Amino acid sequence: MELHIRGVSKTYSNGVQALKDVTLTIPAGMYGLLGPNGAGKSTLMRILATLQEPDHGSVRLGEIDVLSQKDAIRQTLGYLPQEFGVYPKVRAEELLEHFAVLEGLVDRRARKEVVEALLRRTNLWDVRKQKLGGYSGGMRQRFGVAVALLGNPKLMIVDEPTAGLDPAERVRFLNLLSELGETSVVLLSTHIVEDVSELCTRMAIIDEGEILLEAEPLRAIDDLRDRIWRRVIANDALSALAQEHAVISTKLFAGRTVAHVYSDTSPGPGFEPVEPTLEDVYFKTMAGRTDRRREPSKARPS
Amino acid sequence: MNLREIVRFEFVYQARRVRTWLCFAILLAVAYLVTRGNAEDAARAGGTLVNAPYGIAVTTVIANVLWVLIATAVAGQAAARDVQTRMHPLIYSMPVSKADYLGGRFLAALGINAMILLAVPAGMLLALFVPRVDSALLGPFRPAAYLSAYVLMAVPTAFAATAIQFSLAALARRAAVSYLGSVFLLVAVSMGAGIVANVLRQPTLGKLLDPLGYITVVGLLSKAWSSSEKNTVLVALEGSMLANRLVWIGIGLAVLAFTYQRFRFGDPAARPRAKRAMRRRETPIEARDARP
Repeated sequence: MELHIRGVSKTYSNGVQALKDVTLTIPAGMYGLLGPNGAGKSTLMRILATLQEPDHGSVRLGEIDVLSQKDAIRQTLGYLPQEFGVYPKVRAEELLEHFAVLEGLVDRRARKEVVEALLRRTNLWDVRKQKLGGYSGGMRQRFGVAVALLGNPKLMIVDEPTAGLDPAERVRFLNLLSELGETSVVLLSTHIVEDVSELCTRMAIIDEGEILLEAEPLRAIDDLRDRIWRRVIANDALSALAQEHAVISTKLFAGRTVAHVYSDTSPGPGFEPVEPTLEDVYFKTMAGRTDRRREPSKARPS
Repeated sequence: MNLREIVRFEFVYQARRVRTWLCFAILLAVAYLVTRGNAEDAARAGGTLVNAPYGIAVTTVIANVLWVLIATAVAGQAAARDVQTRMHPLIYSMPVSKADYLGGRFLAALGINAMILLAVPAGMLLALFVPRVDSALLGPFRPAAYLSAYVLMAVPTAFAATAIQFSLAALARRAAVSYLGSVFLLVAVSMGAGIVANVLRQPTLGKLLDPLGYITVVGLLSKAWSSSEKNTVLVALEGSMLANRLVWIGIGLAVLAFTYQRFRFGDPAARPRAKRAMRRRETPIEARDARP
């Protein structure tokens, strides 16, 4: 089963264009949608989760029209929103049971088994009798995962899931997702490059509502081989370097600035070649954009 | 199946809240105290019986006015708790129809309110026995008097009021907005109906508009009925009382139908982030590149 997103656009009433003609084909497996905050990821995710209407475009999961057959898609949808709350004064097990009934798990014994299995997989079994108001952020996130996994969704929409998790929780969560990814379409939006590089077999980079790159992470990294160079510079030398070379990213390391530069040939002495990572793919893609965006401002007197 | 589960979950959730039982206790106390007051008056002046059907109807109507004020949150919470706890993206993306969702929440709120209003007959009965009222002041025990007051006066009022409170909260996505509905019912409509009935001298129209049956029962019947009528005659579902109940049940249904039409399983958090987007565009790339 594939998810087809075709020409989806969304402009908010105040004129902010959140999505510009987004077209993506997403096969079964883990798919990463990578972009900075405010890039339009959550808008796209809400549209796929039937909670928002695009102005234009179509979305299909196999035979199902996501935009018009909302009931059909909700039968097979798992959605973990970026931000959500829960009733504070109800026990986790009770609320999960309630959601399980709504997901169509009508048979009592089958439901009990599914709920128990999910509480164990999300490591909430020991705290299932606790009220949700007493849950930490990570526990609540895992509860949301359990809700999203109810009913074995064929389409799983996960919006910035790892932001609030500690490292151990993050690993456990990503394992849960990749299990599901063996049979279902799992779309993971994130601003953390590692989430994508560790998990996803395909990815897209989005900024300001536009898809900038659609690729397989390994192949995209391979394309940058022998083209990423690194140089340690003084903190105030950055603007001079940026004048001459295509600086795609800078990082602080031990109080000094480490710049990554994109170049087909060696940019000169002082530079050493580095093994490219998905982070370089991301910054290279984003840097191409910011350069274009900067050009008009050069003409402006300042 | 979904409808039943939504009603069950919401009813149980609210039945476990302290607020629900606080409302119950307040109405119980008020019904008890009003009836004890009636008993003292009856002992002093004579004339009416403590458990006169008319007295039961008046006490029910007075308790209803109080109920509209104190139990507003029942409907407001049932309608808007999902948005206010921000759980709505989870539940709105589930395979639940709008009819099951809204209908289930409304029926649960109505059920909780009907349960709270049972405190009124309970309080009135308690007042007769704890401590025991002099049997000379009591007429025969007539369950029909309590039943008719509850079924004809309290429940239709609860239906209309719950429908209005629920709809306001559901469409505004805020529980507190349901108080506007309560204030509207008590101040605008009740006072308006009183003005129509007494100042404009249109008692028929006034009785029709009165959401709580206050004018009919407390205002007009108290003058029209003799003591013996008050002691023996049940407030019946006929004439202006029947018309009034039908009008308010109709208003309740119309408000619910409107809400069903207007309500959307959308995400109200999906607000455009204009300021953030503007700021982002002005940020120099060096600052943005620090971490993706």
